[in-house]
Amino acid sequence: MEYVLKTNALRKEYGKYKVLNGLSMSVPKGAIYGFIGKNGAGKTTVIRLICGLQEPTEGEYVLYGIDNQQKEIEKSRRRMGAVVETPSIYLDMTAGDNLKEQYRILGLPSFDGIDGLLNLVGLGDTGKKKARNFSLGMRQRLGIAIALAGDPDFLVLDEPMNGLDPQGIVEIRELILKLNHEHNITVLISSHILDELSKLATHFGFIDQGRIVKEISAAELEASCRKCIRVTVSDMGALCRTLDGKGLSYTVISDSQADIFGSVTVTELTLALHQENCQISSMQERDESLENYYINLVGGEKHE
Amino acid sequence: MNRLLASNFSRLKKNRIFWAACVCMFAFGVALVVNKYLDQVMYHSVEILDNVFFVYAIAIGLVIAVFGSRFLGTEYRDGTIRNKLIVGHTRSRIYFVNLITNIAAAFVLCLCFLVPVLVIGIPLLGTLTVRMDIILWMLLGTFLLAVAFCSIFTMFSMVCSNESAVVAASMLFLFAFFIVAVVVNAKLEAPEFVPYYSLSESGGMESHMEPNPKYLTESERVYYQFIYDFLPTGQAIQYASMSAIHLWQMPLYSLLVSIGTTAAGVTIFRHKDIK
Repeated sequence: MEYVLKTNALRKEYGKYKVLNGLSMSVPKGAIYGFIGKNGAGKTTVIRLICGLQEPTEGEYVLYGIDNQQKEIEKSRRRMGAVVETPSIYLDMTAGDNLKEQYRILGLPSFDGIDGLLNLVGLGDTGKKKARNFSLGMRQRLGIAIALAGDPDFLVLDEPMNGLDPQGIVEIRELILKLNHEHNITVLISSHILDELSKLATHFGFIDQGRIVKEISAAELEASCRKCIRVTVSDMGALCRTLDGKGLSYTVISDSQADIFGSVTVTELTLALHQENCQISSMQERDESLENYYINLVGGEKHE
Repeated sequence: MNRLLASNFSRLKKNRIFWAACVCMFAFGVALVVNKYLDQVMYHSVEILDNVFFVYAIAIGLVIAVFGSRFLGTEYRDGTIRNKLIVGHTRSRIYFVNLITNIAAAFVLCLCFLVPVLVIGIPLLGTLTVRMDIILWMLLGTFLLAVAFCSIFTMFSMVCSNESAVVAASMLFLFAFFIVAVVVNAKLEAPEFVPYYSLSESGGMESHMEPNPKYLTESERVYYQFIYDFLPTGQAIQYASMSAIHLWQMPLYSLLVSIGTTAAGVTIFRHKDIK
C-alpha cells in the first residue's frame, strides 16, 4: 500500500510535559483518515508537526517519501494543504482577496482558478463581504478553499466541524467527500464528532496519551463491530435459559435488559419466552457504534 | 522570496494603518514647516529649513513601532503565517521578507515627511544651509536608523505571537530608550563649571564659578558618548536636532544593531513553536 504520510515514534515535549509519546501512524493514499482522540491526546500537535509549524523532539515523519530531516520536505509540503484549528484567513479581506494572497504566496501565475474554488466551497456569492463578517461555517469553508489553492494531493483538517451548526456540518462533510471522490485528495481529518467521522472516514487512527492505540480501516471496523438486539423482558432468568438453550451469546445489561448477538429469529425467541411466561417489553436492533468502539479501546470513563 | 514579497506588498497597499501613518507623517512635515514660518513672521525669529528637515528621525521610530507591530502581528492574530509555512516557505525567508516589507514601509513614511518639507519648506524657509556632503551623510544615517528601528520591531513581532503584547512592548521599549538617551544627553551636556552663590560679609549675594561634580571625566565622556551614539533613540535625537558629531560612526552602529537584532530574531523564530 502506498502511503502519503508515515510517522515513526514521534515525540513532542513542551518543557516537562510530554504530548506525543512515540506516535506512529500511516495515512494511505486516497484515504479519508479519521484521527480520533480525546482533548489533549495529541491530535493537533501531530498536525502541527507535519505542517512544519513545530519540530518534533524526537522521531520522524515521512511525507510523500521525504523524511522531515531532509531539506526537500519543504517541496513535499507544497503538495499538502491544511486547516489547523481555526481557519487561517485575513479577517479584513474578502474571500476573493484572501485567495489572491494565497495564490501570491504559492506563486501561481494567474487568479483564474479563484472563482472555481469559491464555488467549490460554496462561497461564490460572498462578493465584497469581509471575512470578519462571515459565519463560522463560511470561515471554515474559506480556510479549506485556501488550503486547496495549491491544488494539493493531501488535505489536513483539524476539527473542521467544531462549532458548526447541523447544516454546516453536512456541507463540510459533503465537501470533503467530494474532494476525496472527485479530486482524489487524501484527507487527514481530526474530529470529536465521531458519528460524523463514521460517515466519512475510510480509515481510522485512535490516539490516546500521545500514541496511536489502534489503526483500522472502515471495513475492518465494521466487521469487528458486532450487531446485536437489545431486549427488555420481565424475567431475566427465563431469557438466559432460553438463550443458553439456543446457543446464542448475550450480555446482561440489567435485571430486565440484555444484548443478544448473532442471528436471532424473533418469532422463535418470542414463542420460547412465552412458554417460560416471560414477556418481552421491547426489542431493538443495535450497531456497536464508532463511539462504543472508541470507548472500549481507550478505556471509557477512565479516560473521560 | 519574490512570492512572499508580492503577497506582503499587496497587503501593504491595502493596509489602512500604513496609509494613516503616511498621512500623519505628511501632516507632521507640513505642520512643522508652517509653524516655523509663522514663528518667523510673527516673532521675527530666524528660522531655517535645517531646524525641521531631520525631525522625522524621531517620529519614524514611533510610527514603525506601531505600524510594524500591527502589520506583522496580524499574521499571528489571523493565523495566516501558518499558510506560508504549510506550503513550504522557510522560516528565514518569511522573517527576511517581513523585515524588507517593514523597511520599505519605513522609507515610504520618511519620504512622506521629506517631500512636503522640501516642497513647502524651501519657498517658506529657504534652502538647507549645511554642506551637501553632510546632508547626504545624515540622510544615509537616518535611513539606516530607520532600518535599525525596523529590525528591532520586526524581531519583537516575529518572536512574540501576541499582537497586543508586541505593540505594548515596542512602545515601552521606545519610550524607555528615549528616556535613557535624554538622560545620557543631559550628562554629556552638563557644564564643567556651575555658579556657586554665597552670602558676603556685607549681607549681599556673591557668586563664583566652581567645578561641576556631575561633569563627566574624559573616560566617562567617551563611554556616555558611545551609548548616545549607539542607541537608535540617541541617534534620533542627534539627527533631529542637527547636533550629530560622529556622522560616520552612527550609521555603522545602526548597521550593527540591525544585524544583531535580525540574527537574534531569525535564530529564535527558527525554533519557535507556532500554534
